[in-house]
Amino acid sequence: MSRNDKTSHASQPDDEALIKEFLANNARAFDRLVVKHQSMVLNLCFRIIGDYDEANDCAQETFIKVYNNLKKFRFQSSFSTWLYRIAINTCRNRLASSDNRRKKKTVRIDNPSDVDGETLDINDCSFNPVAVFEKNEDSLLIHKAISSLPDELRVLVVLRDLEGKSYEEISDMTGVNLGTVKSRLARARHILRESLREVFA
Amino acid sequence: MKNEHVSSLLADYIDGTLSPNETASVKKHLAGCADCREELRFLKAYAQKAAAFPSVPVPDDFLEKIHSRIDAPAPPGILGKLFYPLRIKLPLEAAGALALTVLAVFIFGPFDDKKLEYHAETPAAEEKAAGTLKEAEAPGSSREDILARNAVRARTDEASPRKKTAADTGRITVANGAVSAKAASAEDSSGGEPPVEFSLVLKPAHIEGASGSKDSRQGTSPSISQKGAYSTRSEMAATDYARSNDLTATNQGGVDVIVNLAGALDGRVVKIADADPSGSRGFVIIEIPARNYSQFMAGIRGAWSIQKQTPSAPPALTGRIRLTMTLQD
Repeated sequence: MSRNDKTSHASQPDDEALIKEFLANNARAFDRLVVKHQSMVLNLCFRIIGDYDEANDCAQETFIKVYNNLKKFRFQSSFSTWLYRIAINTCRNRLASSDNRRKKKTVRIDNPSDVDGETLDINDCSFNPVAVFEKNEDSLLIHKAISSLPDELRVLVVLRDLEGKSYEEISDMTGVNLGTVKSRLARARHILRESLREVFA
Repeated sequence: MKNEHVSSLLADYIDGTLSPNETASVKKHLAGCADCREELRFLKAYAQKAAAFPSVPVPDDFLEKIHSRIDAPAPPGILGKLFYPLRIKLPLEAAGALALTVLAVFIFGPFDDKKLEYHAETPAAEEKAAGTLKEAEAPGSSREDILARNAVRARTDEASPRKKTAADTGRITVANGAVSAKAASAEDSSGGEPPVEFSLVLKPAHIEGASGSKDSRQGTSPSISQKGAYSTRSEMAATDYARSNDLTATNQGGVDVIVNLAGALDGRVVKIADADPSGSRGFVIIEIPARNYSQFMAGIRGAWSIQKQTPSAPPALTGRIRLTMTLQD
C-alpha cells in the first residue's frame, strides 16, 4: 500500500466536503482538491506514460476534466477512485494517440542509447526525472521494464505493484473484470521476470 | 500440484492473501519445484524494490497551469478548424442533411449519363404526350402525325404500365417488353451495317367504316380484324389508328401514314419522290429498325393495300431495313 493511497483514504471525508464547497461556487475548494491529489495523479501518470512532461500534461488534463465534470460526481464511489479512473483513461488516450507513439521513440527518462539499439534524444523538459532514480538504480530498471510492457499490462502493474491497489479496486478503476486483471498481472510478471532476470540474479 | 506451477498464486502468497488451503498447496509445490522457488525469489525482490519506487516532484506551476488551461478558450474541433477561416458555423443538423444528400447522390446517381439523357429528351416527349404540339409550332407535321404518335404511345403505355417512365422519356417501349425503341435504335446504329433493302408496291386501300377488313391481303402479317393475332399491342395501335381515322390512301394523309409510322417506329424518311398528297404515283423510301417491320406493315394496311413485297419473307430482328415503297393509283 503506497503512501498516496493511505493519504487519500485518510482524507476521504475532506474530499466530500471540498467537493460540496466547490459545487457551492467556492472556487478555492477546487484548488485545495488539486493540491491534495496532484502528487498522486502526477506520479500515476508518470509511471504509466514514462515521460515526465507528458505525465505532467496528462495530470493537468485530468484535473481539468475533474473541474468540468465535478457536478456529475454522485458520491457513489470515493473521489479518489473517481480521480484514478479519470487519470487512467487520460493516460490510456494519450498512449493510444498516434502523437504519443511518435514521441515514444524519442523520449525516454533514462539513457536512451540502449533502447532498441537506436540513438534517441532526450526531450527538453523542465525536470529531469533521471535525478529521481540516481540513488535507486534498481527502481530505474524496474521503471524501464514496466515501460516496455504492453499498455494494457502496464496500467495493471502500475496500479498493483507501484500503487498498491487491490484486485477489486483495479477492476473498478480500469473496467477490466477481476479474473482478467489477475491473469494479465500474472502474464505481466512473467515478462518482467524475463527482463529483470539479470538485475535480480 | 507438482506438475502445475503456482506462479499465478505466488504474488498473492507473498502478500498473504491466499486461503489456508491454497497457501498449503503452494508450500507443498514449492518444496518440490525449483522453477517456482526461483519465481518466488524474484517476486519477493521485485515487490521489495517496487515498494521503494521513488516519486517525482510536482512542478511549482502545476495549479497555475491548470487554471490557465481552464480559462483558455476550448480549442476548435475538426469542424471548427475546417470552417473557422470562413467563419461558417455548421450545426449538426446541417452536417446530417449534407451527409444524407451525398448518400442520396451515391444511391440514386442523378448525374449518370442515362439520367442526363432523360432530361435532354423530356420537353419534346412531354409535348408529344400531352398533344399540345400545335401545327403552327411544328411546320410539316400534320394533326395525323401527332395523333399517330400519341396512339402508338398510348397503346404502348396501356400494354405495359410499368414502363411508363421509359415511355415518358420519349422512348417508345415495345409491348413485348424487350427493349425500348430508343435503345434499339442505339443498338441498331452502333453496328454500322448497311440496311437490308426491301421493296413494296402499294395501292390505296378502301376500308368500309371502322370495321372494314382485308382478309385477302398479301404478306405474313395478321389481318386487321384478327386483333388477337397481332404480335404486339403497338402493332394493333398502329392499325387501329389508321382504321379509326379512315386514313386510306385516297385521303390527304396517305403518304403521311407512312411518314408518321416511320417516325413513330423509330425510323426516318430517306426520300419522298413524285408523290402528291393523294398518294398517287411516286415512291417513298424509309429506314426503320428491322424489329419494327411487322408493326410498320400492320400500320400501313389501314391505308394501303400491299400489292407486292420483295423479298416476301420478313427480315431478321436485328439491324435496320430500308423500305422502298412504290405507290400506285
